[in-house]
Amino acid sequence: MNLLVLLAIILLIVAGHQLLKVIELSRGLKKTKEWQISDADNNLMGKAMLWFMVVFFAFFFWQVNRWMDRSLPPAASEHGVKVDLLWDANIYLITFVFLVTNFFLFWFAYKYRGNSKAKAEFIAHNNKLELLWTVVPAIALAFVIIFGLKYWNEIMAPSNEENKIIVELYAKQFDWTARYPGKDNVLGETDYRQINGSNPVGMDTSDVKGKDDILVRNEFHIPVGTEIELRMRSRDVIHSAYLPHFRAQMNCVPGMITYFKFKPTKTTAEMRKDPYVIKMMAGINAQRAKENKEPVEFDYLLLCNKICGASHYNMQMNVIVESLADFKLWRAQKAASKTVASN
Amino acid sequence: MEGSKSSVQNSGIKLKIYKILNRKQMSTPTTTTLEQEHLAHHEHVHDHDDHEESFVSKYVFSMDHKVISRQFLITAVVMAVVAMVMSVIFRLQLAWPGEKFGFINAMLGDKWGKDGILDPNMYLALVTIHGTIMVFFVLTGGLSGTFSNLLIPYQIGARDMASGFLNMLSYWFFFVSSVIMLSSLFIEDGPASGGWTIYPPLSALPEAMPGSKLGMTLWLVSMAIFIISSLLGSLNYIITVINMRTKGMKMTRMPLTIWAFLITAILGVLSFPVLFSAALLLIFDRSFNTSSICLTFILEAVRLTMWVEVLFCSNTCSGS
Ligand code: HEM
Ligand SMILES: [Cu+2]
Repeated sequence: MNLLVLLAIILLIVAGHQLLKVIELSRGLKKTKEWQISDADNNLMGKAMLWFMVVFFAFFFWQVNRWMDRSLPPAASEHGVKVDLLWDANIYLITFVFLVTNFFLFWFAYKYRGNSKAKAEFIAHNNKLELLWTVVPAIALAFVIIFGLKYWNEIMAPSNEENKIIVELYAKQFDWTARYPGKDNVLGETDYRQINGSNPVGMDTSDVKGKDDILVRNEFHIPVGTEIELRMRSRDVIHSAYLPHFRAQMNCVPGMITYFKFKPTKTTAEMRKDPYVIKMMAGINAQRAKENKEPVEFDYLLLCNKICGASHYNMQMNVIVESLADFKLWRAQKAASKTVASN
Repeated sequence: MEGSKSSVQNSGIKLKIYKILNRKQMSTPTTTTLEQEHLAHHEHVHDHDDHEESFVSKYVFSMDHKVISRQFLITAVVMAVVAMVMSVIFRLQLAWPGEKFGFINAMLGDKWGKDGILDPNMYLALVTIHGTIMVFFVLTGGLSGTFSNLLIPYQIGARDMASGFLNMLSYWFFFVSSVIMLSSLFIEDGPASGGWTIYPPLSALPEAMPGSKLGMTLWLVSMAIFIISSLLGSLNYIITVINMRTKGMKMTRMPLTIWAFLITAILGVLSFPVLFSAALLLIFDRSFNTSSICLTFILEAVRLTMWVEVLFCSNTCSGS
């Protein structure tokens, strides 16, 4: 099979070579030089350029339409709305520029196609044009940068909310551990030298504030409508905590603590009823059915978004967003099971 | 005696370079008669060489900007094709996870493409080398090397680059670094695989992943040589644009393309030395046990375990 493919490729190359030779020979018969291109050829090429543009643009719009439902659902966090706004503004801007510049590219190739009767015109300079193509992109770029910076500063401003929920995300090759402060609402100190099998996140055992901390794996819960402050640590290499549905991402760098704050606006249950999400999941489950796999339900995810080794692709954790009351219940359960386990 | 001998040799080499640099000047009317006489005199002394260029000096170790530009183009196109085949392989895996592709097995063999399914480590390696090749060997080296070399002398009215010799070196350093980068595809542990950004500590610790072993060392060596090439090229472009413009070609009259090449070269000269020192520090950390980039706490942990081994294992596993 592979041999056949290879053979086909070689034959194609040989055929192409022969074709070129035939063209060269026929040119010899016609007594024209390689660089003497007839107006008929120029016309053909010019029109082909236009046709290429039409097909290219049609393909572009078809692609956009075809894959539109594979993009992320609307933001499920407060600041995420701003990120989406910025994203949309940029995409519309880029698409507009893409269409305009490519139109001119092909249109000029057609309009100024070779013509044996036309005479070249000499233009040394055009102030108006130069001003236009300098000032317009400058304004557009300034817009992009100013709004980007403004939103970035707003999103990264230190949290000053009183009842924020603190969650520590501890990354290592290749899983996540979430740590909640206990009743004292303060995370215990850590010390990398105390990392061992029964103390995987390196809690400082001499710090009493850490005694009531709650560790969870595979899935962690957060309440809706409350500010969540994530603190990120890493044991080994750089990881990146990526919560795509909340438009949140921050690197986890060994040796330091990084922060990200956000406020979820939709619970997992609400999200599962969102029309966009229903459509998206229907598409995914249709594909899974074809592969004889069980259907899945929508879940918020925490993913690792920085290459960190062989199983990087599988370094993830489910996130459940629920009402504050449900969250407190869940946290109390976890705290209780912890005391049971340690007794 | 010794000293005078070497200085004779030295002046011979200088003369040769001088002549090669000025060869084209001789046939142009702008050289003064005095210069022509001067050159003709030297020409007479060394009558036997440089009249007919050999194949090697014309196409291989050439100092002509047009030939060097083509060398850059051809090398970069070959690299681009390699990188594109890689992207086809990993995108096949991504689009149909778990699907068996005879093509993948044929390209990567049973070690990396068992049953036609791409190995996760090799997936990362392919993405990494794809990104590296596309960013450095195609965009930086290929585009700048090809078009700056071809167009700068043409568009500013210079006969060639400021230094044809450095230009030649720039290409051959590029070539050597390409060969080293490609050679890393054929070693046992596979090529570098930490992503094209090569973030430490993933890239600094050989035990972090298979791609941080020999493959990473080769990547770093290749990149150090690439940066030398890029710097030689950029300095040449900058000096040529500043010094060798023809009469009347003021900076304000330069074509936009030349402005673009100039700015690109300046940015390259500003940023690549930083990258060079980073690559060098990583090489030192990995191969010569320094600890400049490796986070000290990790090294401490490693050293601690080593100490424990030395203290407690030396008597039990002595001799090994
Ligand atoms: C100017 C040309 C190109 C440049 C500069 C470029 C650069 C890159 C870079 C930097 C990455 C990320 C690598 C990493 O994370 O380590 C990447 C990924 C990728 N490239 Fe390219 N590339 C180019 C052309 C192509 C072409 C022609 C194809 C397809 C035929 C392609 C397909 C991909 C794909 C599919 C990925 C994503 C892989 C993944 O994340 O799993 N690229 N490219
Ligand atoms: Cu990770």
